[in-house]
Amino acid sequence: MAGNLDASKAIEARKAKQSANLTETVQKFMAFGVLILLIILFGALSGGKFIAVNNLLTVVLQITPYAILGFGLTFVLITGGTDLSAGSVVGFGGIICAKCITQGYGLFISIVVGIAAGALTGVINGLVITKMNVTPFIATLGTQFAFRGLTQLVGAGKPVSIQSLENKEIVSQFKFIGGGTVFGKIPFPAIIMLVLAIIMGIVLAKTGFGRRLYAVGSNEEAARLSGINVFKTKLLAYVLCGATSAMAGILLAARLASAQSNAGTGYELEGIAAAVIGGTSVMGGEGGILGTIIGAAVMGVLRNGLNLVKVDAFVQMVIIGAIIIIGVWYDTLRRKKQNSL
Amino acid sequence: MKRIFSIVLSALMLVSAVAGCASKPAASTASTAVAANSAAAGKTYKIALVTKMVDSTYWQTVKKSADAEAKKLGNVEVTHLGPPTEADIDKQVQIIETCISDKYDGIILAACDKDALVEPVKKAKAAGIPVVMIDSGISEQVYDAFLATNNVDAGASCAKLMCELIGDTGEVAIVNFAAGTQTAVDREKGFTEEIKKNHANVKIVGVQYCDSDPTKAANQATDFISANPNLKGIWGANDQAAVGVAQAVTEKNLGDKISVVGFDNSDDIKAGLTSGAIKGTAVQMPSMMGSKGVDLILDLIAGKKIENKNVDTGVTMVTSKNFKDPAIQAILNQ
Repeated sequence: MAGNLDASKAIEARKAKQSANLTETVQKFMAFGVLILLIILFGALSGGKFIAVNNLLTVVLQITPYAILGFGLTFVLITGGTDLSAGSVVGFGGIICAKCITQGYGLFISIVVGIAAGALTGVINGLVITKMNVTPFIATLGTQFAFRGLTQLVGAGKPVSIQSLENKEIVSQFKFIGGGTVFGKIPFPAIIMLVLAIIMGIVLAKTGFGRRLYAVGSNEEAARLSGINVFKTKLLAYVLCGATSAMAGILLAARLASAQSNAGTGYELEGIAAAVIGGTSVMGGEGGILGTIIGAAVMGVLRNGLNLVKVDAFVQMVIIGAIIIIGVWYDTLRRKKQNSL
Repeated sequence: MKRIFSIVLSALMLVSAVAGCASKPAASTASTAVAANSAAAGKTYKIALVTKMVDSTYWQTVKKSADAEAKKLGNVEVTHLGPPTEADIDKQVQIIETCISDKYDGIILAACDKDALVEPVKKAKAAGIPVVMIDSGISEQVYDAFLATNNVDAGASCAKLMCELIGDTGEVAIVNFAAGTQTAVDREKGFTEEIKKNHANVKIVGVQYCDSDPTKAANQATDFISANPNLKGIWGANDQAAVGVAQAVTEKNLGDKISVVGFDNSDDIKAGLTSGAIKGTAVQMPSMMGSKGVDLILDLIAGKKIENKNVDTGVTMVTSKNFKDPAIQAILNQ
């Protein structure tokens, strides 16, 4: 690498730039390749059960909450941060929404309040990280406990049941949001996921805010010097993550018509895994929504496929764990290569 | 900085490991029949019922049944004591010490902490006071008896109901709530052994663990249904598992083909029983802990030996057919 001539250095630098532009696409392609491979593999092993349309739609329904949570986490990861409280916010948003419904507020208002509650947790995370200068890992580790505690307080340690409400109309409406089907067999939550993916994908790729997220994640100091409001950019990323986490929580509560006070426990790691498998870097500065959907699909297909070919529950955990490690390992290798170029 | 992270992380892991171990130990052997027996006439026996806290419906249920038993016997007086919250372990220790100096004739105790209460129970025993544990035991067997749900037997009861529902033949799946937790292990063991031993035509196609997350349970149940087209029943081994499984079966519109059996009791379970999405559930009996606790204390005062320290308070199988009975409603709302 240590070329003597300036010319060779210049060539190396240009190559590095090109490869940096290429890597994200390559990884997305890789993850997509893995996904296709898994689908073919499970299709063959399960004797066709896996590729039945009904089953594939089931997989889509199964990955929806993880993917939606993953969208918000992708924003945070791109800034070089992390949000370990996202799983707790899943529970918090769900239970606030359900509590509002049981208090007699309409469905629309309850959902808006639930999402707003999630956004508010994002404000807290963002302020602790930017204003108090606590590292994201520790800050959100703390709020993970705090928000779970709040969730348990709201639910008094018990599930908030919508199922058992007298008003059966609101029960069936709420259930439709979480598990109903449209256009024949397409799960309604999948439509929400798709719309959200398109909006957040555009925000990330096409807007100034999106570009600022990448800039802050690549080099915070440089971003600051070039006049980017780092505080505002980061804060907004956490607010969005809180809001999407709450949305995932509301969908979970809606599917069961019951909000569990322990809902979402550990989901932040599912979301982070989905993002990382899809090419978002845990070091910041890289990533995208499409990758996260593919990552969530890889996890969902793995889980469903392993169930269908009747792999033991404990063996499954080992396999899924290995896939996550391989995903991060690949990411680290790629970065090392990039840095040494 | 990294070192601090790892210290914090390992401390957290330690805490959660300890918390995991602290879950209730389950009774492991069959119950002994205990005849209620009024002891020598003339004296009124003072029994302290010391629970983890006082003002929760669960403990109030225990208290009510202890009071009712005392009233029935006539010569017993039950005093309900307890710390303000389950976390006030020191206060519960103090309460036991006060009970000893107040010369109670017997103590019924649900321990806030399995280690911290060992010494106070030893002290009470040394002072000649019989101690019967209920619900949550202690780490050393220094007490006279321990009343709790025998989860192995309860699992077997669920298996029996399941086999009855599916006509004693066909495939069933299990969605358990946790891997490696004693309660969960016992329930699963009871269920699978009952099927292996007494129901040759019933086959268990798989076990999944949902971490008490109903959404995971629903996903796992859906996958069981996709993988096993002839599936006839799914057992959810606790409240959340059952609710998730019922949701999956309802989503697939297979309520007539696949029977869902659950465990425990909650608003969601009741809604499931009402709609028929859940065909039956095993309900634990906190009320038995009060009445049987009083009976055992009197037996001990009368000098009777208790052969088996672990006493099963049993479960009641509530089904979508019998759950409207007033007697069953009383159990559901206990």
